[in-house]
Amino acid sequence: MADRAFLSRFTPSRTDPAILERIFVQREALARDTVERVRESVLTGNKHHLLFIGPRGSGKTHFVSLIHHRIAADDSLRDRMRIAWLAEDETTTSFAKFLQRIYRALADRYPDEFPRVAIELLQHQSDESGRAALLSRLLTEKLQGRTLLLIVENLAELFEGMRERGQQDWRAFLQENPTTTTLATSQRLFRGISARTSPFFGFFQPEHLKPLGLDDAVLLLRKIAEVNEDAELASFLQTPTGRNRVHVLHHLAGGNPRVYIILSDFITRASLDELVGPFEKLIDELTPYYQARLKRLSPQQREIVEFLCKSRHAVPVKEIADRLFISHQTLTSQLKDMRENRYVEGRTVGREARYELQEPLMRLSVEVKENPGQPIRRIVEFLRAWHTPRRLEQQLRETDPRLDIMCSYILERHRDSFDPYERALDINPQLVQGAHDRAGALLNLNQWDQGLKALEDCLHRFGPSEHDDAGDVESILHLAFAHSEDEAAWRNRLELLVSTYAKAEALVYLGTGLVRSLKSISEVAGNKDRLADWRDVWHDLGKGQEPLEIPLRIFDVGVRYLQTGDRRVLLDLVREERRVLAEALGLDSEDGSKGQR
Amino acid sequence: MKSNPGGQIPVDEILGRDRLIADLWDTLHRLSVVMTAERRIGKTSVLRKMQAEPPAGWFVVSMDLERVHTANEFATAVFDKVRDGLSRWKQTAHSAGKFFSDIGGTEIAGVLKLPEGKDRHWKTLLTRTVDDLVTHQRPNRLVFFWDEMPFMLQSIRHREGEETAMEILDVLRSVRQEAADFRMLVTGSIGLHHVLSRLKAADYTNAPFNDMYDVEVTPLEPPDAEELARRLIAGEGLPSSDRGAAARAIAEQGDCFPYYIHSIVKRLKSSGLAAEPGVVAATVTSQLNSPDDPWELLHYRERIPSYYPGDDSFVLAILDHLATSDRPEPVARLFAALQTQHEAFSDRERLLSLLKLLHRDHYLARTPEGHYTFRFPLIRRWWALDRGL
Repeated sequence: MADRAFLSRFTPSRTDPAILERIFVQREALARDTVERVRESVLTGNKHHLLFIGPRGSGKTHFVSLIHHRIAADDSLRDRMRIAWLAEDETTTSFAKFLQRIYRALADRYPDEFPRVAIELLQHQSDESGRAALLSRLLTEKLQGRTLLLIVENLAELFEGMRERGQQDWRAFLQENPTTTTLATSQRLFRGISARTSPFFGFFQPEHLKPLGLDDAVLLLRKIAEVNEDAELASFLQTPTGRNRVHVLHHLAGGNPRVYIILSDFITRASLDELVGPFEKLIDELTPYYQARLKRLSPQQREIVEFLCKSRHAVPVKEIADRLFISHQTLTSQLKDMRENRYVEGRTVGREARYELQEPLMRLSVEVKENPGQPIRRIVEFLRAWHTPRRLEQQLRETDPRLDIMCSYILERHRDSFDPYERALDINPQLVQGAHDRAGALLNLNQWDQGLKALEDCLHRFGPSEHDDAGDVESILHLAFAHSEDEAAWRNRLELLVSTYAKAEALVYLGTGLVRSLKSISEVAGNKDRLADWRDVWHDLGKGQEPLEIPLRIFDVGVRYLQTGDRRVLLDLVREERRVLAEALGLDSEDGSKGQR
Repeated sequence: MKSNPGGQIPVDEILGRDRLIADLWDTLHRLSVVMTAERRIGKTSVLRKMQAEPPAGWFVVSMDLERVHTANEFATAVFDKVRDGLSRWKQTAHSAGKFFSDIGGTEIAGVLKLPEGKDRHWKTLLTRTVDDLVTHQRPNRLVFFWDEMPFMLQSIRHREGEETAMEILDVLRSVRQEAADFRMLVTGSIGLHHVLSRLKAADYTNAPFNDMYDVEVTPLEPPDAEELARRLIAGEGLPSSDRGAAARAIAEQGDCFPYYIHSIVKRLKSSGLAAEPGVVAATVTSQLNSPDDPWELLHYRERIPSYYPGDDSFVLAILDHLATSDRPEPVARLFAALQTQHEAFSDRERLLSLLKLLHRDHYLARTPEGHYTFRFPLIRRWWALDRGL
C-alpha cells in the first residue's frame, strides 16, 4: 500500500485537483452542467449567478474547486475571463471592502494586470461610498471587457456582513456592469436571496447539494482506497459485508462527504469490518471540530445544545423553556437562529413543535465526553447487527447452491426439511447455515427445548460474530409469541432464549430480532393488551442486559406507537433509533412529521 | 441560450416587449412614467432594451439607484453619470460643473464628492445638471431611466429622515415641471405607493407623481413566452417529443413570466426530465407544493398584515373567495361573500377601497365589466393550495 494521498478534510481547495477529480462521486452531471453555464457566461452576455447550498462538510468546496479546475484548464476561456476566488472566512463589512477583496484576489493571480499599487489610492478616500466608486471604476477598467468569474464561499456570511446597504450596492454594480458571473456556496438558503423584498431576490440559481446516498458513500471510500492503493480495502468495499459496514456509518453520519474523507484516513479492511474502533476514532477526530462550532454559539444556545444532547429525544419547546428557565419568546428566537445555522432541527407533529440536534455525530461527540466509549459502542454494535442482512435474504441474493434446503424452510415444510439438514450436517459439520436452519425447524415444530438446545449448540460452535449469524431471531420470536398463550409461558421460553444468547454474547442479535419482529407480532397479537404484556415481559428480562438497552428502547416506543397511532411518540427516540423503528414498521418517513421552515 | 432565472440576459436575447416599449415611448412624448411591476417580471430587461434601441430624437441616461443612499449621493451620481457619458460636454463650461467647483466639491481618481455640511447643495447640483443636459441635448429630448427608485427613497428616509426623502420627490417634480423637454421613467422592485404611504404617515401631503403616467409591465405576450421557452428547451438540450407543445405548456404554466419560464426549464434540466406537457405540469405543481417555497410565494400571504393593517382578515376572505371562483366576480358577490364570513362587515366603501389596493398591488385584475379576479393564475393556484381551499 502506498503512502496515503493528502486529502484536506476542511479545505478541499488545498487538495491536488487531480485527486479531487479521482474521488469525485455523485455530482458529475451537475458539474458538467455548471461548467457549461460558466462557459456560456464567459463567452456570451448571458451571465449566470450560481449558488450551491449544503451544510458543513457536504462537499461544496470540493465541488467548487473541481469546477474552478476544469474552467481554469479550458484554453478557450483563458483570455476572455479573469478569476477572483475570494479567501474563505474573511469578514466583509461593506461593499467597498468586498470590491477590495475581489481586487486583491485578482492581484494575487494576475499581478501584472491588477497591480496592487492601484488600490493605494484608496487611502485618500475616507468614506466607503468613495472607495466603492473608485474600486468599481478600477475593476471595470482593468477587466477590459473580460468576464469576471467570482468565486465566493459562505455567501450568507458575506450578505450578513455587508448588510442591506452593501447588498444594494453590489446588485446595482452588477446591473450597471453586467460582466460578472458568480459561483457561490452557502450552508443555507437565506433571506438575502429568497425574500421578495431583498435586493437579490431570485437573482441566484440555487442548487441544493444532495447528501451522499449509501452507494455514493461506498463508492467514495472505494475511490479513496484506490487512490491510496489499498487494494484489500477497495476489494472489501465491493462485497456485501463491506457495503453493510458502510451502511452503519451512513445510518449514523448520513451523507456528509467530510465524514467519509476523515474516516478514509484511518480505516483498513479489518477495522472497517470490526467498525467500533474506527467509529470511535472518527468521533474523536470530529470532537475538536464540533467543539469549535459550539464555541461559536452564545452561552444560552450552548446550554440548549447540551440539554438536547442529554435528553436523547426530540424535546417539546415548552419543556426546554421550563427546564432551562428561558422565556418562550427568547427560546423561539434562539431556536430559529440555531435552526437556520443547522445546529438543531424542528419537528412539528400536530400543533406540537419538538427540537433535537441536527447531527447525531455532534450529539455523540458531546455524549462521549460524559460517558466515554459506551454510547458509541452500543449503537454501533446494534446497527452493525441491524445492517447485517438476514441470512436467508442474503443467501437467496447470492443464489446459494443449497437453495433446495432453504426453500423447504421458507415454505415451512419443516418436517420435510429436517432430514436434509441432518444429512447435510453429517457431510459437513461446519455448515453453519444448515445448523441454524435445523434449530429453526425444531422450533417451528414447537419442539422448543430441542430447538433451543440446537440453537445454543450453533451459537457455541460457530459464534455469532464470525459469520454474523445468530439464527433467524425474528422467526424464533414470532414462534415464541404465537405458540404460547399466556405471559408465564412466554416468560419461561424467553428467559431461556435470553440466557442462550447472553451466553453466546449474541444478545445484540436478539435485540435486532426483537425490533424486527414487532410488526409481524403486532399483526397476530389480536389486541393491544397482548402486545403490552409481551413488552412487559421483555422489559423484565432485559434489565441489566446492556446490549438490549437500545433495542428495548426502540421496541418500547414501537409498541406505544402501534397502540396509539400517535406520531409524536416516535419523537421519543433519537434520530438514528427512529430510523431503525421506521424501517422495522415500514413507515414512509422516520417520524412522519414536517420539518420546520 | 441556457435557462438563467434571475440572471442577466444580453439585450439581443430579450424577447418581445415591442408593443409595451412602443407604448412607453409614445407616453414619454407627453409625460414622465412610473413603471409598476411585480418582481421578476422583467422590468429591468425592458429598460435595457429601451436604452439600447431608443427612437430618434431621444437621449437616454440610465441609472440603478439601489446604490444611492443619501441625497448628496443622488445628486453627485446623476452629475457624474451625465458628465461621464458626455465627454465633449465635459470639456465645455457648464453651470453644474462650475457650481460643483465653487462649493468645494472634490474629485479623486474620477470619484466625485460634495462637501459635507448642512448646506443642501444637492438640490442645486441636481437641478443644474438636468438643466445643462436638457440645454445641451436640444433638439433631442432627455429621459432619465431611474431603476429601483423606491429602494433609494427608503435608504434616504432611513439615513437622512423623511424630510429629505420628501424634498427629493418635490425637487424632481419641480424639475419636470420646469423643463418641458425632460422626462423620467421611474421603476422599482417595491411599489412606490408603499414608500409614499410611509412618507404620508410623516405628514407629507404632496402628490409627487400625479403628473406622471402609470404603466404596468405585464407578462410576455403568449407567442413571445412560447418562443422564449422553445429557445431555452433547445439551449438546454432537453429531450422532447413535441417541442412546440412543451413550450406552450411552459409558457402557460409559468404565466408568461420570463422568470418562471426560465425556472421551469432549469428545473427540468437539473432533474434530468424531458420537456413534455405532463412533466411540465407536474414540475410546476411540485414547485407550488414544495415546503421550501422556491418561488417565495408565501410572500403574497405574509405581506398582507403589513400592506393592509387592520383589514387582513377581510383581504384573506376576498382572496380565498376569488381563488375558488371559476369566473371573475362582481363587487356585489364579493360583498356578499365577505358578509358570510364576517357578519359585521357592512362597509361597501371599505371593500371598494380594499379592491383598489389589491389591484394596485398586483393581486387582482379587473375585467372591462368591473369584475375582479386573480391577476396571475399561477398565484391563484398557489393560493388555493396553500390555503387548503
